[in-house]
Amino acid sequence: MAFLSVTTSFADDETVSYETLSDISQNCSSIKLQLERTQKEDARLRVYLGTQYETVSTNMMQNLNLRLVRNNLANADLSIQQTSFFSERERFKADFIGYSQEMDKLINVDCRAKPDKFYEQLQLTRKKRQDVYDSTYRLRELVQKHYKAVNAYKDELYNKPGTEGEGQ
Amino acid sequence: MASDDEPFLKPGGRNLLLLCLAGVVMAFVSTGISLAIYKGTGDIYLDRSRPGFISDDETHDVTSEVKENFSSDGEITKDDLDEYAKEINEIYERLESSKDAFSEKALSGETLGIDE
Repeated sequence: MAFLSVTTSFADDETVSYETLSDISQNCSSIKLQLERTQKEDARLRVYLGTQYETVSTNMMQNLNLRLVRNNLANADLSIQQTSFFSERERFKADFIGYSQEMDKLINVDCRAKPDKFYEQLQLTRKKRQDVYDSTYRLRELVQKHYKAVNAYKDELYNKPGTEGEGQ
Repeated sequence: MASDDEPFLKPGGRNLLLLCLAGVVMAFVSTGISLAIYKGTGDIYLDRSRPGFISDDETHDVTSEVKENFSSDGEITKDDLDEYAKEINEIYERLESSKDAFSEKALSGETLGIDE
């Protein structure tokens, strides 16, 4: 069997020790349980974050830009931010789907009989999970950037000399 | 009693049976194709109503905080933009409190009990 060798090499030059493969094989049941727990928690997190992103995109950014346009106060920077956020939200969805597909494959690998295949799939799933994590980071940064841009635009509109109290 | 030469089904009955069987086969095939598309496009991973996904209670728990909704109508004042910024900041705070979501820890060797 593959894990009887001291190390097993994968396509991207990663190697795995006999001890690691032995751990996977021996702890297969508990690893599967842990992965299923993670999968469930991921689904909950996806709904939670997805709801927040949807709110930012649809209830906030889109409505703000519409209202600014209707008041002839359209701001190009805020419009670009809306588009960027929408694109990044779509990317988050795609990344989550890609990660979930790999996670499903990982759970379905027989880790007791094929620990080397399991480890290979684990590495791939980790990379896909990192993509989702990076996407959540970028979306958070975009929200923070938007917050700053709104405050800057507010100052530009209302704190200019001679415009004190205008529009209120 | 029917004689041995008499067919089990009359032509009309046989056609009806074939139609029923064809209907059942078509239903299975179309359901199979639909499920393949459902899974292939990844919608299965985003569908909250999928059995075994997360319960309604959990869905309610994770979505109940969201109340922000900026109106797209009306004039715009400094107070409106203050309120908007405040709500955006509240959402940011919630996102910041979930910044460890999808971190590498869940699939680390330590969590899975693998010595790497």
